This record gives sequence, C-alpha cells and structure tokens, in this order.
Amino acid sequence: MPIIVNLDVVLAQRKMRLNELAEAVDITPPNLSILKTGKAKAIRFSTLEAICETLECQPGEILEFRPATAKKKIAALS
Amino acid sequence: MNERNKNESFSIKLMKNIQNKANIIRVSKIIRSFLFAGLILWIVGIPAVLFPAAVSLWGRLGVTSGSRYLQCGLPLLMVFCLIVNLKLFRFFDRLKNGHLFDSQTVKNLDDAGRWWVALWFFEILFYAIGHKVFQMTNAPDFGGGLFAGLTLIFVAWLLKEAQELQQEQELTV
Repeated sequence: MPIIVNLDVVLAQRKMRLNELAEAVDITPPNLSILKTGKAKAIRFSTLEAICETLECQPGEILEFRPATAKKKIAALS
Repeated sequence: MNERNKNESFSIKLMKNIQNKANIIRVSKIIRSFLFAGLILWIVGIPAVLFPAAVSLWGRLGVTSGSRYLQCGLPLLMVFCLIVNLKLFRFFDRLKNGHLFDSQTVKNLDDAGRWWVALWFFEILFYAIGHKVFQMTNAPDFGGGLFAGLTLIFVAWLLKEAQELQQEQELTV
C-alpha cells in the first residue's frame, strides 16, 4: 500500500507502548495494532485527531506517502 | 450534551443491529429445521426408490424400456435434490450460528444455486430424452428451478459484496 503508517516510530520516540496509546485514545489494542501493522483500510479523522493529540505530533509524522511504491504499482498494472 | 446525544444514538443503533441479527438467527433456525426434515426425507427416499427399481430391473419383471429409464433416472434426480437441500441446509446452519457475511456462508448459498441450475438442466435433459426416445408423457414444470437457482446465485453475489464491505468496515480504525 502506498500509505505507510509510522506509528511504531512515533511511539518509540515518545517512549510509549501501544497499550498505553490505546487506552489514551479509547481504541482497543487489537484495532490499534491493525493500524500499526499497516493492515487498516481506512482511518477516521476522529481517531487520527486523538492519536495526534496524545502523541503531540502532526498527521504527517504518522502517515507517509511513498511515491516509489505507487509508481511500481502503476507500472505493474499497465 | 452533543457528546451524550451521539453516544445515545450509537447505543440505539447498536441495539437495533443486535435485534436484527437475533431475528435473522431465529428465522434461520426455523428454516434450517424444515431443510433438515427434507434431508431426512431424501436420505430415506432415495434407497426407497432405488431398491424396488433394482429388484425389478434384476428380475426383469415385465419392465418396459421407458419404465426402466424412469427407474434409473429418478434416483439420480433425487440425488441432485438431496445436494441442493444439503447446501441450503448448510447455509441456514451457518446463519443460525451467527455467521452472516462469512465467505463460507456465501459459498454455501452460491453452491446451492449452481446445483439447482444443474438439477434444472438435468431435468430438461432427462425428460427430453424420455419424451423423444421412450415416449414419456410427463410434462413437469421446467421454469421454476432455473429461476430459483439463478436467484440464489445472484443473492450470493450480493452477500459477497456485503461481506467485502463488512471487512472494510472492520479494518477501519
């Protein structure tokens, strides 16, 4: 997927564990794990807001778009 | 106040969903019971038709070619009916256990539809040969099986779409 989730990087920088973040943003750890491992298909703005507020970061620090992956996919499709 | 209203409407929606699911499970239980009775009937009926046919064929007891054809073909027709019944039974069994938009549930319904279409096709062939070659005069209704089978296949297709939507919903954080 072209959108990469860097939640584990930000968590490591803030020295916070996944369970602590889950409790803080009121999401179950399994659900947050889905996001962390890149299996999520979509993220609600409310969830993103809660995560950014707790980790004191910008959405851009958590979500990254990798053009090279997207280009490869387009090349593979054509 | 806004937050409280949001929470209340969410709880009402959740309760409605749970109620709907409970109703689906209740109705599935009833239909499953009928299909189970049908399964028993076919399982008992097939040998009940097969055995006398085998006896009369073996003893060649004044059997015409037409009745021989019928005696051989009917058990085959009944086997097709048994398979359709079994697939529908499995479908409603999974619904009864709460697996609404499961890939296996959808597959059971799709299989039931395909076997029903196969049954219709076999019926057409069987009675066409019987009419042409053995001058059989039975004229069963041919339209119902095809329509029912295709409807089941279409509904299975819709359920598959619903299953994909549910998967996407589950993977929305």
